[in-house]
Amino acid sequence: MTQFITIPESFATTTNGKQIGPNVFSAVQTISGNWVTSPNAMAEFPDDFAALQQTGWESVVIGLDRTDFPQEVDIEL
Amino acid sequence: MLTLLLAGRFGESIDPDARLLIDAVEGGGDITTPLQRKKINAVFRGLKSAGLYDKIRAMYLFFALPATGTGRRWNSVDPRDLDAAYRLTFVGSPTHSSDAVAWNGVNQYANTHAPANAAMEQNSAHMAYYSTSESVGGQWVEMGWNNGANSRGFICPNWSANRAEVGIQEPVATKTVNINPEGLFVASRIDSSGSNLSRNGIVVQSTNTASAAPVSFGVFIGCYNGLGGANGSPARYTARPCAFASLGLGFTEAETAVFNTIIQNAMSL
Repeated sequence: MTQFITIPESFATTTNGKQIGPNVFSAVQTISGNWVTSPNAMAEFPDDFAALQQTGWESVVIGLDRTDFPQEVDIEL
Repeated sequence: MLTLLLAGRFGESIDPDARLLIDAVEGGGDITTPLQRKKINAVFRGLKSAGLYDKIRAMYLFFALPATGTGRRWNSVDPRDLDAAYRLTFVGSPTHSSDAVAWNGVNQYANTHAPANAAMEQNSAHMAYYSTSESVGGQWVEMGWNNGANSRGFICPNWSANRAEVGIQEPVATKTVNINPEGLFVASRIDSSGSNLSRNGIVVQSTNTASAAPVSFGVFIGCYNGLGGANGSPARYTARPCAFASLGLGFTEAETAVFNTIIQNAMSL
């Protein structure tokens, strides 16, 4: 089980791919439709999360397994 | 006085290229400890003494660098702050512990920006990954690329319960028996006729697949580059942490054993 934080979809889609120094923001959607990202992102993208907190968002850490995410559909190795 | 100060900071004989790396790390705002500097120096001195240094095109000393993305972005053999120097980009905010980078197995990886057709050669290539975990997931790939057609390279010692994927600079991956995924893995090719996968300096899997012309896909660490055959698309994320990674020209079996000793000795300092 891995820790994630839930974030609003609008924040996830607008921030995905943003780069500060060597760090690139990445959010991913669970099978149930929630958008999540690593708790470490709050330290790497402090201004973005400060702005998000001003909208009333609060950080909630949840534990998820890989099975909580859609299976990759890829070519056979 | 200056000599005494430098000697006190770096020990008696810091390798000049190790010094460049340390200066880059600290110039970027991160601080190295005396033990980290000792480990860095041991790697550089060991590789040069063994004649392996010039085969390294990119090397990522996570076990010896500050536990931050900024501190660990550097290609140790070319510590310029440029993608063209194969500097890392960390995607998805992985966790930096004191001795490794831990991926979540879902959306975290590092892009080396090192193209498979520039950082390696068709008949001389290696990739190395030190996994600090023997946990077994499902279809995890430690590093590599895959254009889905005719150019692949993997470190994948434990794809599933009875299968591994082996090969570098090959048109297809060779399916072999899985192995314990903890330790220093080196995939290496030194000619057109086949490649080896070594674990802790010992060859554990081999292929007899002829080499294929590499493509410009960059090598990813923590997954492979090429979901659906698309360059820039990560696939098959691993959750086994990485303490060290490198890529470059191929190692013989004897060189692989020496390389393993150098890296593991430095890690154990």
